[in-house]
Amino acid sequence: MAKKLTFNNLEIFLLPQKAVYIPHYAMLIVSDWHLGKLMHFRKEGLFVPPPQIRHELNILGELMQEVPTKKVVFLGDLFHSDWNADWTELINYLSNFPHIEFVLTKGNHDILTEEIWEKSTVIQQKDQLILAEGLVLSHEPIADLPEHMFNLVGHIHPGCVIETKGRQSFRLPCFYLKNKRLVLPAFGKYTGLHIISKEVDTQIFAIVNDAVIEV
Amino acid sequence: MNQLADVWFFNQGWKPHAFQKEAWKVISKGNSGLLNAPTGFGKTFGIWFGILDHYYNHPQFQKKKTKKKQLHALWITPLRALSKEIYKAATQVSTDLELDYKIELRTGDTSSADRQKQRKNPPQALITTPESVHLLLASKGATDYFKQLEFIVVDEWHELLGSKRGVLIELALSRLKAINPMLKIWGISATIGNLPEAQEILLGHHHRGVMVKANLKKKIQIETILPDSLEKFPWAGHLGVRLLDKVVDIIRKYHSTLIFTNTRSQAEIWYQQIITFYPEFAGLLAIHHGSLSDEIRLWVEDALHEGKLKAVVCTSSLDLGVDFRPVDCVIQIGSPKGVARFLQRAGRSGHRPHETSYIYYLPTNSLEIIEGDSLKYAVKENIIEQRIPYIRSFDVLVQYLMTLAVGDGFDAVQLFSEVKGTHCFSSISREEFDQCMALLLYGGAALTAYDDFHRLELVDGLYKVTSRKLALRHRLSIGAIVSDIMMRVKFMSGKYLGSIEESFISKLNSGDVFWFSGRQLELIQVRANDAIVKPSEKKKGVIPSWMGGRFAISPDLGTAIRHSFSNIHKDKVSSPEIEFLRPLFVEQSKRSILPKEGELLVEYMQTKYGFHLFLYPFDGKLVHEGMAQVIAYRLGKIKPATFSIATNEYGIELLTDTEYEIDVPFLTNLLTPHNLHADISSGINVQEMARRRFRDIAGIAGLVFQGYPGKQMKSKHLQANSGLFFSVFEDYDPNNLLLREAYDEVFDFQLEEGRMQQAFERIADHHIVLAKPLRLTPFSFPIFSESFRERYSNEDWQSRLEKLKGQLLDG
Repeated sequence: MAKKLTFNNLEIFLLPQKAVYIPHYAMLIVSDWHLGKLMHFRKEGLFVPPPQIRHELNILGELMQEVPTKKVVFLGDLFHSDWNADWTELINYLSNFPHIEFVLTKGNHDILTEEIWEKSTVIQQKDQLILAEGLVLSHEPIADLPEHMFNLVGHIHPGCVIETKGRQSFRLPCFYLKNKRLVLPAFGKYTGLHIISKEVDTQIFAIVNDAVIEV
Repeated sequence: MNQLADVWFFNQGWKPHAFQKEAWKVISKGNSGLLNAPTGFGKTFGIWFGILDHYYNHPQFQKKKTKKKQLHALWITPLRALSKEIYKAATQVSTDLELDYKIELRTGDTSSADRQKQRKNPPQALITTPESVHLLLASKGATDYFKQLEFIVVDEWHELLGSKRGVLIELALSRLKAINPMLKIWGISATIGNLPEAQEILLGHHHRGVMVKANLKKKIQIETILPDSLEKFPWAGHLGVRLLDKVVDIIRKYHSTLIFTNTRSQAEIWYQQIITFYPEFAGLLAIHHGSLSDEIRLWVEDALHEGKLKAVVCTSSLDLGVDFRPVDCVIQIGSPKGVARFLQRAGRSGHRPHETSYIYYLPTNSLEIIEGDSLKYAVKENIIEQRIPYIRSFDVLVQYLMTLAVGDGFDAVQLFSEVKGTHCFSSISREEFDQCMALLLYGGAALTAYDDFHRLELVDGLYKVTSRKLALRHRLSIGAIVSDIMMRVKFMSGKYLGSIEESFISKLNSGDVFWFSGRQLELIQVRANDAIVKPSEKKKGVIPSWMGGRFAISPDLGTAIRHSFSNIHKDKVSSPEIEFLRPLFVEQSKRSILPKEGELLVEYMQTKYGFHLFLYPFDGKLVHEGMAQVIAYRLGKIKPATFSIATNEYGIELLTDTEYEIDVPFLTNLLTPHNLHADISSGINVQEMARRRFRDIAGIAGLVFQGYPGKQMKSKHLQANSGLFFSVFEDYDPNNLLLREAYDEVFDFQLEEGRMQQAFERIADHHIVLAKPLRLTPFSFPIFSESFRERYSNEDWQSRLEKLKGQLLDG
C-alpha cells in the first residue's frame, strides 16, 4: 500500500519497500543501502559473521520486477567505505539488467577510487540529478534551492516512534517531508534509525508492514 | 611469630588480634588461603606482615647481586580509592620500620611515564585493579615480569566475585599460576552466604588453602525512623523527604553521619533538601557519589577523615573499604534491597573494634516500614546473601585471548587447559574454545571463501596480534565494565565537577538549570564531550536520573520480608514496625483479606480502568516482573488480551479490559509450576531482553569499540552497532557462543528462572485466598500507582503492526 504525493504535478509514490517510485520516468529511488558495511567491519577486525549479500541484492531485484523500471537512482551511501569483494558482487548483479540505467548521487560513505569506478561502468556517478519538473535528487540536502524546487535526499536514516493506546510504542523507519525536502529511509537492512520528532511543518510517513501511512 | 609485626604493633601501642597472628603463621608456612574478617579490624595488616616476613626471611631476595629487582607481591582491589588506602597503610609500615620494601600504585590514574618505570624497575609490591593486571598481561615481556611473583592478594573478593570482573581475576590467576607454580594466593572477603565456594573459586578446584576467620562479632543497633502519622494508602517515594526533620535530629545527635541513598539522583535530592531547609549545614554537609570528579570525592573523604563534616549524603561509592574513624552513625534511605549491603553500610559507623555500629533505616513509603522488621530479623538470624559467580562468560574469554595475544602470545593447547581449570570455564569443551578462537582467527565459523578478516596470527607456534592498530585498540578496551557515554561537567574556567550520562544532558537546552554535585548549575553550552555550566540562582532545577539505579531485592531479604508478613495478623508482636503499621493492616482486612502464613492473597476488582488482578507473592520486583509476564501469557492463552503490568517488591498487578471468570481452581491452574520453562520461553520476549544484554557482551568481547580517548564515538552509534550485530548474528550465525551467552544471562540473571521456579513451587504449596474488593486496598494501591508499567500482548509483532496499521488508517 504505497502513498502517493504530487510534487509540481509529478506523481511520486512512497513504497513500503523503503523506496520512491516515479511512474512517469519508470524510476526507482533507493537511499543509504550501505552495502559492504559488514565486510568493512570485518576488515577492521570486528568479527561479524560474513553476510550473504545475495539476499540484499535480491530485495532490489524483486522490486525492479514488481514495478516497470527503466532507471534506478541510488541516493548516496550505496557502498560503505573502501572496496571489498561485495562491490564486485553488486556490479556483477547489476550487469544482469542491461535495459536498466543505474545512477549514483554520491554520498559521504561513497569513497571508492576512480580506478574502481573505471571498471564499474554499469553505474554512472553524479553529484545530483535534476528532473524537468524541478525535483533535485541528492544524498545530502542542497541549500538555497529556488522556491519551486523539491529536494529528495537520504543520509540520516529517518525513523519515528509511534505511541498508541495502552502505552505501546513502535520504532519504525519512515519518510519525512519538511520545507519541500523529502527524506528517504535507509534501504539497507543493517543501518539503524535516526528518530525524527514531529513538528508543525513536518509530515511523517511511517512504514508499517506493507503500508506507508502518514502519522 | 612475626618479628616485623611484633615491633610495629608494639610501637603503635596495639595488640594483634588472634586472627592476625593466625594469618601470619599460616602464611609463613607457605599456605594460600582466604581471610574472612569484618572491616575495621586490620585485615590488611593480617596479610601484609605475612608478605613482608616472607620477603625478609628468604635469602634469595636479600642478595645484593641480584641484577634486576623483581615483583614480589601483587595486591588487587576493586576500587582505586581503596588501592590508595592500602598503599598508604603499606608504605607507612615500610617507612616506620625503615624497610627497603617498595610499594607502588598502578591504576587507571598512573601516568605512562610511571608505568614505564614500573616495567623497567619494578617495586617489590604493586597495588592495582583487575583491569590493570590484564593490561600488564597485554604487554610484551609479561611472562618475565611475573616470573618471581610470590604473592597475589585479592582484596574485597566478595565484591568482585559476583561480577565479570571476578572472571577477569580467575583468568589472570590461571595465567599467573602457570607462570609461577609456587604462587601463593590470598583472598580477603567479608562474610557472604557462600564463603567456601568463594575460596574454592579463588584458589582453584581441590585447593589446599586455609580459611582464617576472625570470630569478632560487631554489635549493630538498628532503628527504623517512623513518621508521626501513618498513611494508609502509601505510594512510592512519598514518605522519604517528609521525614527530613527526623533525619536532621539524628545528624545533630551524632558526631558524623553517613546518609546512604540507593541512587545518585536520590543523593542529589537529599543534599538539596537538607541545605534548603537547614542552611546552617552549609560547609558541614557534603555529597559523594560515583559521578563526581576525583577531586571533589577526595576532598570529601579527607574532610571526613579529619572529622570536619557533620554528614555526607552518599551512594554505594562509600560502601567499601576506606575507614572514616569519626563516623559514628549511618542512615539508610529506602530499602537497602539486600542484607549484606545493609550490614556493609552499618559497618561504616563505629569503625573501631568493639564499638557499636548505629544504623537508622528510613522507609520511603508506609509499606516499606515493615522492612525495618525484616532487616532486624535477617541480622539476628544471620541470613546473608550468596554471591553468584558468573560461569561461561565467553565475552570475557574472547577478550582475554586477545589480551594474551597482544602480550607475549599463547599456545592454544596449553591455554585451553589453563582456562578449563578456572571455575568460570570448568565446563567449556574444546569445541567451544575453538569457536572462541575461530572468532578471532576467521571472524566467525572457519574458512570462508575469500575474506579480509585477520586478527590473530600464528607466529612460531604462538598466537599473536601483529597489527599495532589492533593492539592499541584492544588495550584501550580491556575491562568488564561497559559504561554509558558520559559527558564531563565543567565550569567556564575549566574546573571539572564530574560526569553525567549524555542522555540526560541531551535533553537539556542552554539556560536550563539542574542539580549536580550538590550545586545548582545552569547549562551554558555543550562542546564536544563537555557540558559547560555556571552556578545558578534560579529556583527550579531538574535532577539527573542516572541509569542503572534500580536494583532488585535479594532472595534473602525476600525471605525475611515474607517472615515479617507472616506475623502481621498476630495480635501481639514485639515489633515496633508491625505495631505501627497495624491500622494499615486493619484497613486491609476490612476492605479485603489479610493473608496469614502459608496463604497467597489474590485480589480481583473492577475500576474505570478495567479489570485488575493483584497477587502478593512477596518475592521481589525482579521475580515479580517475570512472573507477571508468565501469568499474562497464560491468561492470554485462555482469552486473548493485552495487559498493562505493574510490579513492586511485594506484588503484581495485571490490568486488562477483558474480564475473566476468576475463582480459586482457576487461579491454582494459572499459578502452576508445570510447564514453567516452556511458558517463559514462549511467553516472554526473551529476544528483546537478550538484545539489550548483548550490548555489554559485544563491548567486552571487543565487537564494538568505544573509541579512542577524547574521540569517543557517539553513544547512538554504539547502540546501533551492538543492535545491528545482534541482528546479523541472529540471521547468519544463530549458534554463536556470544549470542547464546546473551540468552543464558537473560534466563539466569534477568528472569532469574531459578527463583521464579521456586516462587511458583512455593505458591503451589500455599493456600490461595481470593478477595473481590470494591475499592483499592492498602496492599494494592502502591502497585496501582506505580508509574512504570509494561505491556504484555499475546499477539506477535506482525499482528501488532497490522493492528497499528488498522488504528492509524481508521484514525
